[in-house]
Amino acid sequence: MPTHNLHPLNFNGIRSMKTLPSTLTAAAVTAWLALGCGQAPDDSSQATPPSLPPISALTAAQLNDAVRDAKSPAVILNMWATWCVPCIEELPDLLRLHENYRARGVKLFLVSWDADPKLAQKFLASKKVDFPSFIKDNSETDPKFIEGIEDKWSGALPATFLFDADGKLVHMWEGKETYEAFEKKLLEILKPSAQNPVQPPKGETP
Amino acid sequence: MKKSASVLFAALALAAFTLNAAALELGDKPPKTDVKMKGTDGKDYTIAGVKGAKGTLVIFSCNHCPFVVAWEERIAALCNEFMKKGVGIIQINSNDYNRSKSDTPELMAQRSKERGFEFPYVVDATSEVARAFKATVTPEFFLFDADDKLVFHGALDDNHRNASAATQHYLKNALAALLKGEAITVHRTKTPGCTIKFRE
Repeated sequence: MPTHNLHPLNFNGIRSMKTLPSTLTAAAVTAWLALGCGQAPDDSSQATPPSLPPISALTAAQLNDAVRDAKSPAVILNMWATWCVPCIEELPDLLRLHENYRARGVKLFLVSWDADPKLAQKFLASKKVDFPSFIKDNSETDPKFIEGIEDKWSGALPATFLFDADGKLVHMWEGKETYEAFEKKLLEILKPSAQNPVQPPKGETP
Repeated sequence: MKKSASVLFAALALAAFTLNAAALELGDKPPKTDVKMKGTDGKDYTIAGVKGAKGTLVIFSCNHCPFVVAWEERIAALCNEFMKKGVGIIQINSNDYNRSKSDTPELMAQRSKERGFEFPYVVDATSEVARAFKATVTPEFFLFDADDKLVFHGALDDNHRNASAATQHYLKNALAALLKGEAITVHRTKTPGCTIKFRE
């Protein structure tokens, strides 16, 4: 099934996509994710010491490409900032959710709204984040970025988006949410199979 | 059965995506205009009471939000200017200050003085005004014309971090057009900001 038509950019059928400028970066991000997130893309402007988790500045179109190309049963995309108190309060729940479901292929895309990527990286390192994350590319204005991610999103932080295996947006939360709320929606889209029954991990409540 | 299930699914999906939609449409009148809200000067204000001859601007804002802080000097300058030109302005803090400690009335008064707000900065003590507007973030601007019809809902401009880098001055353009009696070209924009911490 071609995923293009189900891409969130086309969710409402009203947005345009600047594919060419984003192709290389999106491809680099995809390759990076496919490699198990061990190495940052070849972007010297974003080079970081090995102790900090890699971070890439992406536009909305590039982020949408990365979601589509993740080939994951579910992608949780969270908009946050180090200065956003409710974002910081909900982050442990998102990290725990990711930890519990990453073996099933679920990916967590953290997108920082910080002005300085180092701030985000240092904060994420302190939370033992070991996977690549993203930062809003400030060459794109805030309204364009917001519209490019999801037309129904007001622009409030935090905001979390759940995409299914086809890259289709299936749920959006504005404001702080709980582990249980995120997990409930996640379990709805993880397809059950004999080898992989969809149940919360041991010790977690459904 | 299949059809009804898919209809139900579609309805639920639609509900999920409309929860955060702005309730006020262009042309709507402001709700809760008679709710008394305490200002940082100790006086009670209502939206009806601040109505201006040229129109009324209702701002949902707060103290703590970094987006507000980044935009606040611009908000003060623009609103002070247009208040003198006949636009009634009220800035409402609907946050529960038990959850957001920097949003107490005392700190609001301090902020108002520091920024030189010449318009009322008031407490929405039950968050009912924000709920009625279906406001979701701070800062969020609702501009009504002289007939109390909504003509603009959105953000101040397109760059909260850097005033000199802003290329689209949404609110200023809307205010200027309103005063000139010209058509407002951008009626609705995204509103980057912090979620309102509603009182339970």
